[in-house]
Amino acid sequence: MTGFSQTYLTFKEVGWFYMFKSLMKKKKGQAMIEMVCVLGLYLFLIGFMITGFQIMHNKMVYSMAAYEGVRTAIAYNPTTGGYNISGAKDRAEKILKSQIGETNGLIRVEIVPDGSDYYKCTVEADVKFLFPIINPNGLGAMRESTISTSFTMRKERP
Amino acid sequence: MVKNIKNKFQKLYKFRKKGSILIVTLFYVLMALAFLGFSYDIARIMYLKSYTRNLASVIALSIVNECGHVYQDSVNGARVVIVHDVESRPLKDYKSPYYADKRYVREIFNRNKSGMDKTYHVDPDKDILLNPYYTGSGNVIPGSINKRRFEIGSDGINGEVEVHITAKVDLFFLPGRQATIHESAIAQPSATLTRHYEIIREEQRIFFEYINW
Repeated sequence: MTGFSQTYLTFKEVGWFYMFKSLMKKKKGQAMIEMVCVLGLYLFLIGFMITGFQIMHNKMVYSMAAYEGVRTAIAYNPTTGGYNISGAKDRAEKILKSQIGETNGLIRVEIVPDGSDYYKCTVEADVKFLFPIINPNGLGAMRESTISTSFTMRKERP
Repeated sequence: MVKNIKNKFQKLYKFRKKGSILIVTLFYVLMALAFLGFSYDIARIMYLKSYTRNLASVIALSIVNECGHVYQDSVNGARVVIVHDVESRPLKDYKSPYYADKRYVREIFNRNKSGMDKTYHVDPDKDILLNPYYTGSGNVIPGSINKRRFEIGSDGINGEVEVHITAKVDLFFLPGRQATIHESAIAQPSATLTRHYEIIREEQRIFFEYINW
């Protein structure tokens, strides 16, 4: 035998329903409640903005440091008869320090020979952002982003 | 008819009055999101412009270091020419296997590829120009090459290399669209040491033109 079961609201449930309905009718504090609803979105937007520009600023400074590092490394010094790699590393680190300042995380500056005639300067860091929402290669990164830039340049001839 | 529409609008307005702050705020949030997306792409383009400029400088300096040839000009003293093809190759002492051409540009570009963004696209054969000619309005003529500048640059003595890069960048907030970036850099070496004494080719000799008033 088929049929339907009818459910009846208990007295307590009806009480909750009317209380909620009367609350909805009240206009006091409406703006505050709506503001709380959109506050999350606002915070997301602010975080998005801060994170995005922080990434771009870091990338720009690392790129500049890598360029300066490799430019100094390839310069041949006729007095010493060689290339000043430690000086080039110092140059890159000086740029990072002056542009970003003291950082909590370690920024790795590496200048290595690339073949016999080239030097490669890589600047890399694991950066933890204030709002870890995005990374340069897509949306949705929730952990530290590795930001890295490198340049390879031909050495000056002796 | 007009009254009817007016009544309907008033009813709708009354109905919508609740939560109007929420709707207006959501509208502003959407607007802000669009503006922020736009500005994030602008920031990326700014970064990639500075990267492209550095890359152009890296290519120009690498060409000078690889293909630059110092010798003693009988008129001007020590000077440098950028060897750009087999014909411009000096008679002796030029040991590099490369010339300042597409092949060497591709070599440098591939060595720098690991440091590039995934959203950054350059075809080294088409998008990188060396010493191009300009139109009257100052635009670069694609595919053109002014070979004389490899021999005598803007200082009138040493050769120079001007590198132009045109890159395409994928936009995050307008999927499927790309922004075009154009940057250039010039490298001109100067010779202070006289290492090589050789008779230069006739076409590499500098001829000064004087106007008799």
